Amino acid sequence: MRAQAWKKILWIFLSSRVLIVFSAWFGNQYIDPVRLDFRDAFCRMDCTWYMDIISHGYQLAPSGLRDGGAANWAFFPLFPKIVSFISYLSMVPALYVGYLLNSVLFFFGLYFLFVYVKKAYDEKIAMTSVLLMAFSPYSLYFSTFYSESMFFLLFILVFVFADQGKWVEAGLFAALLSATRPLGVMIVFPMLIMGLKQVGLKNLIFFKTEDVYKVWFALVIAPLGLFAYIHFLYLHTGDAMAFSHIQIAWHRYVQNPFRLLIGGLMQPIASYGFYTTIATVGGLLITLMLFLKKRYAEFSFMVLAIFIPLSTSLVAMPRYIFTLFPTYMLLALFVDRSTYLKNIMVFILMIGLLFLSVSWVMGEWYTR
Amino acid sequence: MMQSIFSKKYLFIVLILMAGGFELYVFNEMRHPNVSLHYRLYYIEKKLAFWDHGKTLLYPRATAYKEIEMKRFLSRQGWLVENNITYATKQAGSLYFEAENIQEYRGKLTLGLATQTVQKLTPKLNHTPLQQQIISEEGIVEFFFDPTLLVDNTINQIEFEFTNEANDNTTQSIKLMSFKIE
Repeated sequence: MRAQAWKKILWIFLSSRVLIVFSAWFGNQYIDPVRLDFRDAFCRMDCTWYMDIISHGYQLAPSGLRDGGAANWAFFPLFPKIVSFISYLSMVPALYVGYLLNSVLFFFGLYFLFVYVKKAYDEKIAMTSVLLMAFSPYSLYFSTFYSESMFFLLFILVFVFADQGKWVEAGLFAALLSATRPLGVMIVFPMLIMGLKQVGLKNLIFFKTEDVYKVWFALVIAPLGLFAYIHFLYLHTGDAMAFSHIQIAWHRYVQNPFRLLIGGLMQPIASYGFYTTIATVGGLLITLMLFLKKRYAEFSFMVLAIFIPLSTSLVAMPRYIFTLFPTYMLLALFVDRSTYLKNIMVFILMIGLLFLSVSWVMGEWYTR
Repeated sequence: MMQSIFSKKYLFIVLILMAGGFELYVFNEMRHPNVSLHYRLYYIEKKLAFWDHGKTLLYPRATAYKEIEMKRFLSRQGWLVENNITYATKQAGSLYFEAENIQEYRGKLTLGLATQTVQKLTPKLNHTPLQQQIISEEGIVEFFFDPTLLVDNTINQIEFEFTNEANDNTTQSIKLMSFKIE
């Protein structure tokens, strides 16, 4: 049964990646008037920052973007450093290692998503989650040079191991997760909820069993990746929170998220602001449904993963929401009731993935 | 068996304390950034409007700062920048600068200003109002102040307060063209 699942997931993974590469190549060759080299056309936005980290290390002073106020320390080190290390060992250019590693990690992420959802529900819903996630338009980010796959894999591994009561492993993966992206550290909240569910509040507070020590150990080491990075930033720039303060260069300031959402809804229907607002509202509905389904651990992470970036800007919200596994677990629960509904959903996602892949290599702004 | 549980328990306690200790140490680093004043004002306190490409915010001394060069001193709020010409709007614009060796200053602020209408301008140095001056056209305006109003080795602020003296409907704004403090 397990071998069959592997094969099925591999098939879903490969067909979704072929769809991305083929549509991106087609867009690059026949639609894009600029026609960059295909390998470079696939490296957009954050990819160039990761490449900068690999080529030059972390900057000593801000100098990027139009105002000269951006710096690459906004990007967390785990993924680019691993790519750099593999590239050094294999002599393969870092850009290709980045594309390949991101894709391979996505495959393993899909497998562990299957394992987690199968335990939570059943095999059918688990496979539907895998299918929806692999063909989601934003799964494009799992094959370019972004840290999305590493984040997804570590995130699902924490859930899988914490769910099985293997807290030492869960803690170690959580520590790596917090060194992957700023939001990674928020994993402590779902971990706390899962820990409370397993050992109970009284035991957790009064250290009554040996398992409690493991839960506390996992919770305390989970932020270590983030703390190691901010210690480095303190030594490197003098500002431990430089990764957060530099967000000003991307026009991210603390704002009222509800005011941002209302402002977004007032924008023209064909605008990016309106589109990203609708995607955010969709994400909030999914989050609410997770709560109603009593998936409190997933719910807590989704709330934080939506409201933290939303409290600074609406930009990139669709990517933040539609690269998180609870989104697909919930959608699978919804569409798995009918084969017709599931097929329609997968078809719509495929069209979206095709469209976004073409737009991505053309550098269109709405792919954020 | 009992011994093994105890030894594991103590191992976890030691590891938790070590990780927690490191995190507390880093918390302390988060609270005490060791950065230039310009970095602090732009990135941390978000008071300045422009990052000056890694330079520190130096005291302008006797040098006149004009337009683009002056951008580095502008507050984030209150300025409308168009075609590299700076305007203070809604009376909320400020200039931030660092002062050092204040005993060397004689207490003179020189501003190059332009206005669309007759306005009464009252600059404030570190929240203390200086003299009022009526401005009606483009020109140089001088203000004198007690140098002890400056604060040594830290941030100083000049705010602009102005009122429409012509009683017309012209939008109240002031164009700041140069800035000199000595």
